[in-house]
Amino acid sequence: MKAKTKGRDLSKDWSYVNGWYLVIPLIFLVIFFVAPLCYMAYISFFEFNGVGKPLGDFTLSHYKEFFTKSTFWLILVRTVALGAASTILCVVLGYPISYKISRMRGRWRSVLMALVVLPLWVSMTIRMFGWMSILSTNGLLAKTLQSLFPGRDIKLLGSYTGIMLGLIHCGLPYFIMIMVGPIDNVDISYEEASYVFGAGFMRTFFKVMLPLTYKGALSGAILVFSLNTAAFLVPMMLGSGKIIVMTNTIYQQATYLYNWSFASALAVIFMVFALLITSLSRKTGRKTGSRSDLA
Amino acid sequence: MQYQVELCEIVKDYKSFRAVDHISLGVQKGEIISLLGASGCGKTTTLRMIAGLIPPTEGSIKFEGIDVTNVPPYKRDVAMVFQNYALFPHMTVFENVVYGLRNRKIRDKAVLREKAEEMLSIVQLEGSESKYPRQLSGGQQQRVSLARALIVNPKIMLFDEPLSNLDAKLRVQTRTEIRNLLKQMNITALYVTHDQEEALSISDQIAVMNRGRIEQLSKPTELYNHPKTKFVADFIGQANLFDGVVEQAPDDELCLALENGVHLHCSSASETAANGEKKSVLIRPESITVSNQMLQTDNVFPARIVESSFLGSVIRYKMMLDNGLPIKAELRPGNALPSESGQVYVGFDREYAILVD
Repeated sequence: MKAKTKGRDLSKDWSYVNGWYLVIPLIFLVIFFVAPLCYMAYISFFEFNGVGKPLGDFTLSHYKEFFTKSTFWLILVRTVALGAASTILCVVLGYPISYKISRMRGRWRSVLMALVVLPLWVSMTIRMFGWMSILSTNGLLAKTLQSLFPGRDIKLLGSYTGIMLGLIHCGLPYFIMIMVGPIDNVDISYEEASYVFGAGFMRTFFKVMLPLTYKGALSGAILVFSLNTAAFLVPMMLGSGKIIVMTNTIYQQATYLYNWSFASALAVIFMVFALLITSLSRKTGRKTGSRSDLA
Repeated sequence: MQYQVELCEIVKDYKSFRAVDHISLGVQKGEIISLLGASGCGKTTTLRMIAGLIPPTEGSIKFEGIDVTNVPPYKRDVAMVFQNYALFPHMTVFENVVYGLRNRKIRDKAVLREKAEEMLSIVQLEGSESKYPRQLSGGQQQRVSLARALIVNPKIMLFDEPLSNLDAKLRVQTRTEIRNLLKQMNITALYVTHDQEEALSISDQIAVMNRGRIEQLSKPTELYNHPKTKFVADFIGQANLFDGVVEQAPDDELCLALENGVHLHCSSASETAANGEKKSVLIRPESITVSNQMLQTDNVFPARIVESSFLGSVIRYKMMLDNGLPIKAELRPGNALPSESGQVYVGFDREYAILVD
């Protein structure tokens, strides 16, 4: 006899969540996420006559403008390059920290984990303002560097270095948080076995640890990449208007130039590229990591 | 005689306690020594210090006479069989088995293949080279882990409770195989276990550990028949243990006076028992005779049977001597068994009553 509770067959439909509950967030997502996105893609193909006015004729001119002007190409390449470079640095810097935390137990682990998450409690604007004061010509970091290298003109605010610092600062906590779990799942005896059987630190890392945590690192990297290419405040506040990326351009087109169609076209192009890169890296990652998939 | 592996006064301190307390131990080439003890006695810590996975607080470790205390594990030329096997899940059986050889700069594919095949056939796993560890049973995984260790022909092979994850029958079978393999290949081994039967059957010598110290290092038979301390006597096998004071009996033989005034005729392996010294006496349950008739042994006591349980190969009796001492005895079924109601006599000769510290 099957167990029944209030007339419901538990063995057949065993779930804490009634399927209908999903409808509410689904409706929310469709109305406030999917629909605007579709509308945005839609208006990118029409002439824009101003906010609140009907759309003009069908046109591909916005896309044409993007693909024919090297200025815009350069912005896209810059955005992707900044995102990629900051992601790589986040992985390189974050992995050892995640490793150390996941190999710890007890109070110190919680303390360190809290320290990693702590920056996220503070508003992004405030954090970036903090960086501005550190990086500005009279700021702490700039002054220290100036005294270390007296002859050289050191500009951090409004430079790629400044933006990179900001992007790493933003991405690192997320990468560390994501990485702690996968490393924790690798039993320490695998590492010990590797050492005992004659592999040094580097070999153990590349032959054992990396293959076993590859997937986690990949999803962490993809998250950081998505966040950092889509970063708005970092290039805005640390770039001093000198370094323009896709998000700034879209903002500029939409709010100052009131060219919503072109802004939409930029957004669509940016989105497609970002999705292409992340899905591509996921796929190549799967292929390379296929042997660890079997684990 | 130079030891293959020698520990000199090893100490390991953790924040609040001393895990290993001045251990010295020498293992000769081809010898199998077990570290036997309850959990927390420091046996695994000792093993891990020999592997180089944790540094000792004090003392030194020598391999073939050379100090390796500060040598990292990957340069020690050891091998280890882990409790959870620790086979690399992302590598095939072949990759796992040749891992140690690859790290020893052997790159020739043909050599690797040949060696791996040889080792896998020794552990009876021919043809599983391309399988992944998760496709194998626990017993098979342990064999792969054994092959991975044997293939590097280590200076010392370390076993960290390798059989505790296997079921009872497989455990008995595998331990015999491990011993035979080690003896065949003349490999020196240190074997950590909490299972006394395993230690007794696999080792040339057993070091019984207690609170970070070695209580006794002896051959298995010696350990069982002539334990030096009360702890060892109690830890290995079943034991009747009574505390008392050494006295010289009128016939100039050793005698132990128990607290309630009973005198036991006993023997001592060490011949160091002096009059008035506080000692304990060990009587193994299987060396006791129980009968309804009076016995002619050195020690005879009238007693009553409190409880008897049939355990297959033996019957275990719990008895109360008329002088108030509880005692356990084991008899083989089939021999003349005493009737359980009424008076019985418990007897044992002095050579079965052994003085221990």
